[in-house]
Amino acid sequence: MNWLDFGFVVLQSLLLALVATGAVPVLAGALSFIVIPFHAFKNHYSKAAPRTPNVAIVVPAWNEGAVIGASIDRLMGLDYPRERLRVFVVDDASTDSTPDVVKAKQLEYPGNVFHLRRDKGGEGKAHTLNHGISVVLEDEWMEALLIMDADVIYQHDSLRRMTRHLADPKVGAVSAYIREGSRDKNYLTRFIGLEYVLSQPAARRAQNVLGAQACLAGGAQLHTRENLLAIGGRIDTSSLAEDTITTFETQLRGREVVFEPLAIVHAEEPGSIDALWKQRLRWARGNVTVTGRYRKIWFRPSRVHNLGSFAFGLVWFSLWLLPIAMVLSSVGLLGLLFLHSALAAQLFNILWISAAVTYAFTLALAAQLDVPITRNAWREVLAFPGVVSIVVIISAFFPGIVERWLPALFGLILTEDGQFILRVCLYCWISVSMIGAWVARKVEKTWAGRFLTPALIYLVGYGSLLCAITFDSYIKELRGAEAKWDKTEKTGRVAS
Amino acid sequence: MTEHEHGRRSSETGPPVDPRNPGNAFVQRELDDNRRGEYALIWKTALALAFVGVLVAIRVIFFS
Repeated sequence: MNWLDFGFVVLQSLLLALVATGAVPVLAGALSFIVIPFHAFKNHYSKAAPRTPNVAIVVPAWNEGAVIGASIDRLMGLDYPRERLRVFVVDDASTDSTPDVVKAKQLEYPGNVFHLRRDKGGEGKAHTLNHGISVVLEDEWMEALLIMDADVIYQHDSLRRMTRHLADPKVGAVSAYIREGSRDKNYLTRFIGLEYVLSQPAARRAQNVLGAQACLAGGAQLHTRENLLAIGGRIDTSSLAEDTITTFETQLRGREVVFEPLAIVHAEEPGSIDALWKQRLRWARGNVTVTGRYRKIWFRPSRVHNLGSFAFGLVWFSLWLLPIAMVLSSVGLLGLLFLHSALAAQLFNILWISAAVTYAFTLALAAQLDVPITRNAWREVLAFPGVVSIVVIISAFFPGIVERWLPALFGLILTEDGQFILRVCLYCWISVSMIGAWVARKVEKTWAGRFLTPALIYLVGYGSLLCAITFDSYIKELRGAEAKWDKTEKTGRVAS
Repeated sequence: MTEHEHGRRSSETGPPVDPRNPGNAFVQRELDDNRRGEYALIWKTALALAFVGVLVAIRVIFFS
């Protein structure tokens, strides 16, 4: 073997490794969904029992005048003994009607509703929550703490279905299913609704089985008093990921976090790409903090918790590093193609067929887990990977359709050069799709955005949009951009 | 039908007489119903796998 051959082998091996990175998220996705049926046998219901502890509900509220009154009424209407329920609304120096609305509710529900005022506001949700938590901890009444958002709407039986898990002393916290509940739905809220089905009744069930939860729902998390005190009696304020940090701290102390799929809480989600981008950028940057802060637990099994298990680490890093995996895999495929390696086409087929099978399985399963949501979002279910990605999947899964049948419809036959160009486009699409999502955000506020932005998202796929946001979080972190707390705009659109 | 509705409708006793104080017996029955309801995940997974199987079969029969 001469040096040229040796160099070729080394380069080819390197490119193969790059392509393989694209298979890791697919494998992780498949693994996490295939364990879902085991929730039939490994769930927490057998350890749960009737229990109605004294629950203090802390509601952070900054200019929530439009929604807070209805939220309090709904809380007072929960299927839960009212004498065991206290609502503490922490008014974060609101400048709208929030204080007046809450004070009126305090009079309407004496002994159940309390108005707490922060004179210095705008420091973020965690600071606001801590103000309420410090008040709640002043006496011994509270046995469980429910942290929620001002605009979410709990189904009547949701709290009762959460507290029953606290009968098990090993449980530190319980998370509900946050379901997208905007009254005036658009394409984006339907995508978000579907995403929430995939990430909660599907993925969090899998995390119940794996014994490690990644994140408590910010708008619906119930803690035992003991757990709250064990994690320091306050919510972390040093990052944008207070919910994830609370979740990790709970489990690191040996307490379980349980996801209850039947406790349903409706929430208003962003109706524009720009608002979604800001919300998810905050989450993605928070995940960077979490990954770094807990660097000593990853892939290190422990007798105390399951956060260090291989399966949980695989799921965590696959999601966090997904955009990088997409780019590296595209680079690998393109490199092999330009090396005229026969491997390129084979690997492309293996990669995309695996992705297609995983997509089909996860969507077919998720579609059954919350039928009203997925029925309403049937277009988004079909187009979740993006129309172009579906074409790419078809080209891999059903060879000949894209290369021969489709051009033949227009009386065309692809030449060798044409086929090569088509291959280049197919191989780099997964990376280019993120640019398409970025463009969708840029044009959203222009005159064409009303039509072009939804069209682009359907073309590139909702997953690519989320990956583009995660990619943006890398850039912001590398630049050391200021991590500030942006409140997601809410307008009281939740359907009750 | 949502899982939530499934959980409710599968309850043999229907909704509680006093929703605020449903009583331990009702909550326990609801828990048992919910636990049994999770077995539906098995056939739902089987259905999803069957869907994938059909796609694979089409590929093997017509495109290989």
